[in-house]
Amino acid sequence: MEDIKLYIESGILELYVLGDLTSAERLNVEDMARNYPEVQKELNEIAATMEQFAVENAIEPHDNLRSEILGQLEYTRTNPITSQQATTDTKVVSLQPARQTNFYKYAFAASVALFLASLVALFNTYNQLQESRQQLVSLQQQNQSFANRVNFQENQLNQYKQQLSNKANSLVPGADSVRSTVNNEQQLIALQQQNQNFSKRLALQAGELKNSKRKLAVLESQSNNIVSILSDSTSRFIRLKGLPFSPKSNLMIAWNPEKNELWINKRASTLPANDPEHQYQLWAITKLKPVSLGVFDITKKDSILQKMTSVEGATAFAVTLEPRGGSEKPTLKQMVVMGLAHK
Amino acid sequence: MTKKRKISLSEEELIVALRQREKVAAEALYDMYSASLFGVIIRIVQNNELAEDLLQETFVKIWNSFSSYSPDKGRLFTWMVNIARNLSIDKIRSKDFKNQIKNHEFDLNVTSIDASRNTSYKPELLGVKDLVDKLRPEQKIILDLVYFKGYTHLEAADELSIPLGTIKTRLRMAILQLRKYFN
Repeated sequence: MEDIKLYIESGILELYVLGDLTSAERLNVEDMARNYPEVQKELNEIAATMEQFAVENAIEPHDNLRSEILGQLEYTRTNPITSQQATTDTKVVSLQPARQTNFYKYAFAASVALFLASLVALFNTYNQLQESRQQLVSLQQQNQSFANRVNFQENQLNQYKQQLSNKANSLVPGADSVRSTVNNEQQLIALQQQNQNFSKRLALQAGELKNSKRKLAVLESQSNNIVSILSDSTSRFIRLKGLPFSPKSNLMIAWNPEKNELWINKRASTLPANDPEHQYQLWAITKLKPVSLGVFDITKKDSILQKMTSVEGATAFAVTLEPRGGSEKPTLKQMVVMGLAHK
Repeated sequence: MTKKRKISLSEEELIVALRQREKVAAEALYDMYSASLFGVIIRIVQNNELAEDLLQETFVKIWNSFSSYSPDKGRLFTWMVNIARNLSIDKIRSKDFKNQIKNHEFDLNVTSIDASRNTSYKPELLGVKDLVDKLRPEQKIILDLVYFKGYTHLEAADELSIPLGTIKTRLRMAILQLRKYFN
């Protein structure tokens, strides 16, 4: 039937198995399944596929969980599996005391006994064979789920590494984060070496992951700082423009007077790189008096943002080129850029 | 291996025993299905501890509401895995869970779960074995959204800006592909 084929092809049976239908739609599918065997057959196959999919991706939960969970359930009866009582009584063939020694009688009796005995033996062997087969299957399954678990954890570890290196790359490599990136790198190398030892590795991972989580949290909070100043509506973004000493230079500042934070954006700056004897120094002009907000370097490989000291009531900001370490007062003729704090 | 031998029954035997609420039924149920269910749960919530709690909730629910299961409506596992998935998905969508993320409780891959509602799709976070690699990317995305992220097909259509009919057929193609793989 063409309609039935279209019905099956529509994908509604998959949604039924995944539990993604309204109750009316569900009743309709059940109705169709009752009336059309091919619909029922298709449903069975989809369900079997999804079960197989889960089996292939099974992960063995922790051993302790079994008794914990089974202890949560209420039972009517608690007797263990009632194994079939051994009903196979060994047949006893009673032999008449031999009035006259008849070799064939004994021989016959003996062979009957032997036959019975070998039946019992065969039966036992068969049972044992079945049992070991089952054990084999369950061992294989355990193996598979264990391997899945290891795969899964390995995967998570890799994602972790990825996250860490992503974070480290995207953040300001201030002293702290540089150090922690290096630390992380070393930890990862150490972890890889430990990978060789299969059983130790799982235990180690837990500890390492905890460490990395902590570091990640630190990096995250730094990144949040940056994001918060960038997205805060009370932040001001000020462009310092080039002065005759260096007309092509400019520098962006993000200043949040309320949070008392100030960052310079080196990525967007066109300040020339300074030599090792000199450093740039950032000044705020407050009530016509310059206040130093710290020194910084511009090198070829530079970070994006650098946090500087903030100040209250600045009317303008300026940068001068000073001997390394900075000066008490700005050297005015070496002023490279300047900008007003208020438009 | 030091593990005790696991109990295994046929599905019919198990259903009968479950109806009688015998302990052996619970043991068999656990031994036969815990790993499969756990594999699904942990991929949804991406957190071991939470997945263990949810596995427990799942078994309690299966046990207590077993009277509502009827074999003529489908396989036992289908019924059970949908319980497990619903509990897990409710969890990752709960306020509680989202707050936890906001508070920077950096548990494994919470960022990926946070992403489940609004940002980009990251199939590598699935951790599902290479068998899913047999699927085409567009099939993978839909199977992931619907099966592991708990999107309804309507939401998935919305998220991916794809017509509803296409979502359904792609989902069918994905499962057909798995079927081929298993046969």
